Parts: sequence; C-alpha cells; structure tokens
Amino acid sequence: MGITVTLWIYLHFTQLQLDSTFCEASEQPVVIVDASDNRIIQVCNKARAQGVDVGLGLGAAAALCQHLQVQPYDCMFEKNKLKEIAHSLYQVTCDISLVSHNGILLRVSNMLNLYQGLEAYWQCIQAVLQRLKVCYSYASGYSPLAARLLAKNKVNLITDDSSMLLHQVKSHALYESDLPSTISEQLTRVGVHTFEALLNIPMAQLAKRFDAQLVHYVGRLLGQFKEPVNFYQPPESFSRYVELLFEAENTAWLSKPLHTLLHQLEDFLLGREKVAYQLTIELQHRDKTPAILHVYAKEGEYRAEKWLMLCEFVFSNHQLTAPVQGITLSAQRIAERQSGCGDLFEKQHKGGSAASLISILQAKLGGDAIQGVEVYADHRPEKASGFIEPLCHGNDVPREPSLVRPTMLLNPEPLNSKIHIQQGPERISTGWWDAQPIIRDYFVVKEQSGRWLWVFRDPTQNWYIHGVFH
Amino acid sequence: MQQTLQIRCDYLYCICVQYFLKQCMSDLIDLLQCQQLVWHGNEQLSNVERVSTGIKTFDEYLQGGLPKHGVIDIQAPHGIGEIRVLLPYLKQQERLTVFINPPGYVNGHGLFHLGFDTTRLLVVHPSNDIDALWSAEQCLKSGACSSVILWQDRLAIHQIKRLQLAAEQGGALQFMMRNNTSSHLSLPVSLCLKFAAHNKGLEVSINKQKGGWSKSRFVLMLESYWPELYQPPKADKVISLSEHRKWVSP
Repeated sequence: MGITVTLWIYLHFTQLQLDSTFCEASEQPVVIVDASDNRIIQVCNKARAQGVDVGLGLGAAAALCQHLQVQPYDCMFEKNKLKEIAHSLYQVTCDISLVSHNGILLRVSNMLNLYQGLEAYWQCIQAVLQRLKVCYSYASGYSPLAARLLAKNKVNLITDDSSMLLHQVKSHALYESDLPSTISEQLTRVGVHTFEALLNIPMAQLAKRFDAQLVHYVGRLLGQFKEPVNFYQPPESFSRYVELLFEAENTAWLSKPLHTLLHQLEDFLLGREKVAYQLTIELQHRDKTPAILHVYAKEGEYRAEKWLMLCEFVFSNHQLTAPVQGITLSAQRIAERQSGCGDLFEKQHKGGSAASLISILQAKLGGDAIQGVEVYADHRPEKASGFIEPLCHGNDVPREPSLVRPTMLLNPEPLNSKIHIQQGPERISTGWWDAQPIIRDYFVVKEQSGRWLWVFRDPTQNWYIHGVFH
Repeated sequence: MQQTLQIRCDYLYCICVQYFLKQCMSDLIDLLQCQQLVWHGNEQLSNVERVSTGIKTFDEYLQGGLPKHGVIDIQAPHGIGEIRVLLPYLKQQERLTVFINPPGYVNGHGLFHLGFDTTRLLVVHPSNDIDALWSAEQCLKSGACSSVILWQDRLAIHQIKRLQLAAEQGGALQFMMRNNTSSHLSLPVSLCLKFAAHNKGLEVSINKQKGGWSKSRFVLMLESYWPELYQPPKADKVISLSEHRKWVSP
C-alpha cells in the first residue's frame, strides 16, 4: 500500500436519540421503539438492568419492566443531532462526513500532521465526544467501508497498522456487513461465509463469477476504488433544540438542560472568535404555543456561565403557563469579538464594564427599568431632558451654569402650602411650533419645612409644583 | 500561706507601679507611645481612606471627606438640598452614578447645567424594595459605578452588611437616602449623616463616622456653591435710572 491511501475513522452512534433526550434526570427506564414493527432499538441503562434489550418486542419489554417509558423513534431528530455532533467535531477536525442517520466518517490522514500522530488526534476526538455524552462505537480503516464495517461491529480499534486492520476485516462474517442480502446469500451458497474467504478470491475471478456490484464493493472495501464522500460544511447560525423527558413546571429546572445548550453555543462562538448579543429561548409546551424569551447581553458574550446567569434572571421573571417539554436556543445577533485593550493592572481595579452591568440589571428587572438620561435643547422643562436607552448618548448641548433647574421633576400638582418666594418669575413661553405651547412663570420657592420647590403660575393664575431641588 | 503572700506581693507591686506612674507619668506615656504600646483613640483616622466632598468646610468637619468606599446613611427630608450637597463629589467621579428609586423624574436638564455629566447617569426603577437592594448590590460590585444613590426608608442590618461588602469589592460608595427614620437601630454604615433645612445651606450632624470620634453638629453654607439658587430675593424690583445706567454701561 502506498502513501496515497488515506486512513478513515468511522463513529457509529448506537443510541443517539436516547442520549440526547436528557434522560439522566428521568427516574423511569426509557426505551426507544421503532414504530413500524414495535421492536426496541435503543435502551437506557436503567431498562437494561431490568433485562430489556435491543431487538425485544414491546410486549415482552413491558412484561419485564412495569414502568417503562416508551418513546417513538424519530429519524429526523437523529439526523439533526448528528449534525450537531459533526458541528462540535468540526472544532478539532476538518473532513467530516455524515453517513445515514447515525454514523460519522472522519478523514484522518490530513489531520495527522497537525496532531503529530494518530494517538493525539484520537484523544482530541474522544474529548469532544465525551463532553457531548453520547454512546458510540468506533474503528479506523483504510477505506470508509472497512472502517464502517468494523465500527458497526463494535471493534473499537484505532490503529494505522494496515495488516492488523485487514486481519480484523477478514475475521468478520459476511452477514455482519451491509452487503445486500441477495449477494451475501449468493456467496453463502458457494461456501463463502467470511470476508477472509471472499478476499482470497482474486479480483479477476470475482469479476468473472459474480456481478459488478460485488466487485465494486470489494474494491471499495480494500480502498482500491475511490468512494465519493460529501464533506460537512458547518452553518453560520446557531440554533439547538433539547427535548426534556420530564415536564418541567418550574423554571429552576430548566437551567441544567439550558446549560448544556449554552456550552454548545460557547464552543460555536469561541471557535469563530465571535460573540452573541441576543439569545432567543423558545420553551415548548404540550398544547400551547411556545413561550419565547429574549436574553440580551449589551457588550456581547460567549461564555456559557455568563449567559446562564442572564438567562436565569430572565427565567425568574417569567411565569410558566404550562409545563415545558423542550427548549430551543438560538443566537440572534452574532458579531466579531472585540477585545478591549486595557492594561493589566487597570483591569483588576475596574472590574466589569458598564455594559455588562446593564445587561444583568435588564435581564432581572426588565428592559424598561434601567434608563439613561439625555439632555435636549428645549426650554420646556418636560422636553429639556428625557429618558433613553442606557449608554446611548448623542446630543451635544452647551452648558448654561446660570440656569436654575430642579434635580427632580414631578407631575404638576396644585400648590396648596404656604411658601416663601426665593426667586422669580422666569417666564417660559415657547413651543408654538409643535402645538404644545406653554406659557408659565416659574418661581423658586421655599416651603415652611425647608423644602426647595420649583413652582409655576399658568395664565389662569393657578399655581402648581413642578419640581424639587433635592 | 504561700498564696496570701503571693497576693500581698502583687498588691505591693501594684502600689509600687502606681507610685512610679505618678512620679514619671509623662515620661512613661511618651515612652510607651514611642513604642506604639499605647495609643489614643482619635489618632486612628489615618487608617480610613477618604475622598473629598468637593466642599472645603465639609471636608474639614468630616476629617478629610467621605470614606472612599462603603455605605453612607443620609437621613434627611426630601428637597432640602441633600443631593445638592453631594453634587460636587459626584461631579468628580469618572465611573457611573446610579439613582435607584428616585422620588420623581430625574431632571437631567438641571443636573447637566450644574456641571454633572449626564452620560454617566443611570436611573433604575425596580418594582419592589428587594429588587432595589439587589440592583444596588449588583451596581456596587460590578466595579463600573462610583456611586449608587438609593432612596429607601426601611433597611435591615444584614442588608447594609451585604452592601458594604459589595461596595468594598467594587470600590464604590453607596448613599442611602432615608426620609423618615422611625427605628433608632444603629446600622453598620461607614458614615451616618443627618441633614436638616437651613436658610443658607444645610444643618448637618454627624451621627456616626467609622474611624472618627466627632459627634459634631454644624451648619454648612452652600451659597457659594450655587449662588444662582441662593441669590437673595430682591426686595424691590424698581431701581433708579442712574443705577440702571451703571448696570448697562459699566
């Protein structure tokens, strides 16, 4: 074998749907059943302990285990999950191919230079998979087909020793492979039961005695024929779904599953040097329309812990109308991360920034509770200043230190107490251009109690309190 | 027998010491002070870091100014000038100033023309007291704020302690504006001031100061800090023609 032969690793996910439905928290044993023939195809550990196994009929399983929780198999769901796994793997390896609904093929040869050896590469892959908490079997091979054959039969062998791999392939029987049953039957009839026997037949003989499909298969198995592989390209948006096996009636129970999603978000953003400014969390209910929550981070954030804190504040304000069955997390505004260049010592002193403080306050108290103050060039007191989004200022008004204006304004209320006029009148008569004209004579007055007030007299000679000098 | 002897010896020793002290009291105290074995309570002020209020006389009464971080309890009726007296301090700050639960619409216009940078001002309106305290704590410990002013009458000791820790963490000052202080509970604050109205400024009493002794009561003149407001009312608005000419063409 020459240098041109590439090494592949195949990952076979045996119970993808079960692994991703967050069944750790479930008290009851869970199984996934193929709806077409009612056979069990995935079994959780609790169920396995009670004797339920893959391939059993639903009736037999129910007889073995009373409180069995049964979920129908969902192929689309597994395909989506597979994409998510591929996505996580994409952080450490480049050539990834998705095979049907539960297999991932990795082209290893290109990556060995980077990782300096198969061992180190495989450790990285394992670390990623471990974080995703999925069960899988694996094998390497010098063709995609060989790797797949070994992985599906749970050989769990990673090596670049070609003779050893060939030996492994040869030791398997034909029915264990995914050869079409017609061909394997045909071979069995002529006494070829294992791959060893099959591969001992020379190619020319094979072509003469059997059809082209088998020749093609053997060629692909040995890596002599090239197999077309579509490699995975990661999308640039982030949206993940997790289904809860239990119905969460309390928002506090949602933070655990959400945390796993946020960790995936962190990986997604970190790998791209990006931050998200807004997350949308969709809480799926059984019969009701899903509740949609928005979480904002003013200065952009990628860390799962920070997002979790913000999400928990938002959850604490949200009243669940119905139990939650699933959570979808999607990142809305993603932008490049801008690292502020502060000096090393300054940072310690200053701590956090204003933007992150505002995100925290807004998440807990709601967006309207925090306001910035803006000054406008207008003489009418109500229009001279206003509340705006915090930290967005644009106006530039010259200062006039001689103006006497109160610190707080009140809604004008009739003046009933006895006062002593300190200053005034100052007439404000303006606003003819926008149909909200005012004509008022303002006075600075002092109450008997010592309170400094800003009062005005309107043209009808009524007096009102409009502000307080705190 | 031995015990009584022992006691007697101690007694004699005490008398000796007393006698000795009387003889050379001043020498001894000087010696002990020199070795830092004896100290006066009112000499400990230097330990507390202080920051100027921006008003010279106020600084003098406060022995240097406000504490650099901590909680300051201000007991004052609303509208007598309790914010005005803090403005010179607030104007010096570079980080955010947060108003929580202010008793009215904060008039940025007024603060702005007094020289306050309104871009550094945040106004928070929480829905209840607990949220108000929570936001004060968050602001203090974030390190992004230099001062947090909270209007809330009812406070508990443990709440103040939490705020105190948060203030130290973020290097910020927390002002508690309290209108009616019904309970006479002593709160663990760094500084407790009581303001009362006065014609020319404020009547201030320092109820408690961390690292300080003074329980003083004084009148703070504020006229020179905002002359436009305190300008005495003109008794008569009619002036003579010659006086008017003097005004128009000096």
